[in-house]
Amino acid sequence: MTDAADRPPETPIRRLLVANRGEVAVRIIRTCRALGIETVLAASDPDRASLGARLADRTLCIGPGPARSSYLSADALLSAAVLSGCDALHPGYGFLAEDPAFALRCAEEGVAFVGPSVAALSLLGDKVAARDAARRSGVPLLAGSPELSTSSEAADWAGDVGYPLLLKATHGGGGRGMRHVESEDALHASFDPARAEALATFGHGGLYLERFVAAARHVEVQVAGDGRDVVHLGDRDCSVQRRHQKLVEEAPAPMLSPSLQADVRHAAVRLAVATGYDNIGTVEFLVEPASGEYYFLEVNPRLQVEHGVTELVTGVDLVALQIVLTETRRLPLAQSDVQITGCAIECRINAEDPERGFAPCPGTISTWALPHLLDVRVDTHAFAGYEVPPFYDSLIAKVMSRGADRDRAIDAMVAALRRLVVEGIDTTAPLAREIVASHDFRNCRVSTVWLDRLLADRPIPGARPPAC
Amino acid sequence: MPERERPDYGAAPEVFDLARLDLARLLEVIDASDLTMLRVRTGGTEILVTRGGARPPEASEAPRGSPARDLGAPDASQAEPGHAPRSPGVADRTAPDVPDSDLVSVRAPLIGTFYRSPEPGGPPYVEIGSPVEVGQTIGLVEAMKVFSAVSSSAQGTVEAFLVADLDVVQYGQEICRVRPVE
Repeated sequence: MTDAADRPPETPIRRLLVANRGEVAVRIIRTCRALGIETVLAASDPDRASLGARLADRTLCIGPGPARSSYLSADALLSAAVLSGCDALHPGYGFLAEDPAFALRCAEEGVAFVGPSVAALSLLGDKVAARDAARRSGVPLLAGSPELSTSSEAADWAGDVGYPLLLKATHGGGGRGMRHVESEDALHASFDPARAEALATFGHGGLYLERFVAAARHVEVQVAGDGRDVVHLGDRDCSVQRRHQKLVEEAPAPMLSPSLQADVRHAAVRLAVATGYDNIGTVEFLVEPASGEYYFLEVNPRLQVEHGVTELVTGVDLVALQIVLTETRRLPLAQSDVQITGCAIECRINAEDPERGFAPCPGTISTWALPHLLDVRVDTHAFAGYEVPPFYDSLIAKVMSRGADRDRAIDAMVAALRRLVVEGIDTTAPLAREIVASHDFRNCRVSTVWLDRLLADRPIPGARPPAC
Repeated sequence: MPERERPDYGAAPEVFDLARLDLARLLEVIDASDLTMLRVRTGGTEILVTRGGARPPEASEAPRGSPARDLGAPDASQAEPGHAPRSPGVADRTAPDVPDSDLVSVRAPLIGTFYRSPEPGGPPYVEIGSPVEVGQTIGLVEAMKVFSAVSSSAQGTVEAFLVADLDVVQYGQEICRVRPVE
């Protein structure tokens, strides 16, 4: 614990490199402009015509389409930052956002990394190490293995614990490299593809196993810390997932008793304090509302895709909070300053076709009409005429709604999705409409396996010819 | 507080003052032309018609926010595209294109600083008019203290340089043009 007097002086950010793309690049640029910070966008060749490139003060092309040569190239990103005179770099989410080696290189080049310290990234980026930290902080855990190097080593551990299990990436997040395995055969079949996916997505192919809990809710707590003090900004529920990819999120988490909600929030704060956490982050849990049991999953040491619903219920700009924490290393707000009002919901709109097994749908958007409604916010980088490139994540928009209570937030989302028109490519919008209009969602009868079960009953994918 | 009616989420009409503009006639004229985009400003009214996926150009510079760090969250409204102030400095891509299809472009293999000579103050690798072979080094790009050669993709003579020594070049930026031999 350092004294305030020992802290480095404040370093105001004047020009910031946006080391990401898509909607989060637009999101970061938006806050920077409000704060009077110049932005330089690092764009791959196919992203030179993106909305972010039009909004940034300047755009530098850092490499060709494939992420490995552009958004995952530390050399290209740091060249862009240094050559354009940036004093800070925002990594967004995904790509290099959680890479401690990249954060360290930023520091070596004198570019402030907008995110937690290298030490916090190293500790929390390793999911096995993060579980150890949680155990020491008295945060409940599911049974989990150490890092596993072969499928036979995994099968040995699984044999002792029993199935079903989740195979997870030690340096993962966002469901990539993750597999639900019901049997030893499935484990052997999943191991190498999961490793390859983890390596491709996170640059690290480590895997571990964790006990799988069916019918649980995914609850996560937004925290913010300065290395000494930590506050929480409430919780979110992200139980509507397809193969561990979140599709619908909401804040605050519904259906938690006041005491369970307080326990989960306090556990998150306790872990963040214990790890000296020093930016915004998300502590994820599985919660069984019926039993009141909750289990730590992982910490995401970065801005989260679904941060917008927390912004809508707290009124706190989380990107601005990240920037202030990077500049001052001091939390600008106390727990009593955080007031949670109403309810907010987010639906992710992905360029994927739910009718064809969620096949990616790159292509040109011909019609793009957004819902212009009170209580609706849309974070997106798409527009009519935009060509969704085939190289990246399929997220093209996040439709968010808010209301005085959950029912009104759902009503607003139903209205918003009814007015969203996307033509030229297939998207998950029809599925989002179906989810938020469903009885189960309205009545909080969803778990992390709810959507997969719903989709499993559908006709065989491929029955319909593609529109893209 | 008394219970209030739920808001009506009916579509908000977009109102334009078209009193002095015959929109139907305007669309006929555009339809008969080969325009892809037309912007009409009259008084406080602006009409923008595009077709074929044409995108509107950047709008005028938006005022910058105060530098004070306000943590107020973005409100529940849309991000409006098209307000893009640009700072001068690095040219985006290249100088105006010379429509000479005979010339071969040599492009930057990565983002970095361009050097025309192997050492500061030394003679350049090639001059305008120099003969070059396929694969011959015509300059260097330095990124994070690592130097990469920029190689000619054709045999011929150097016709023009589009960037100067020490310029920042982006990935794919045109560095020079070579007139290939027959």
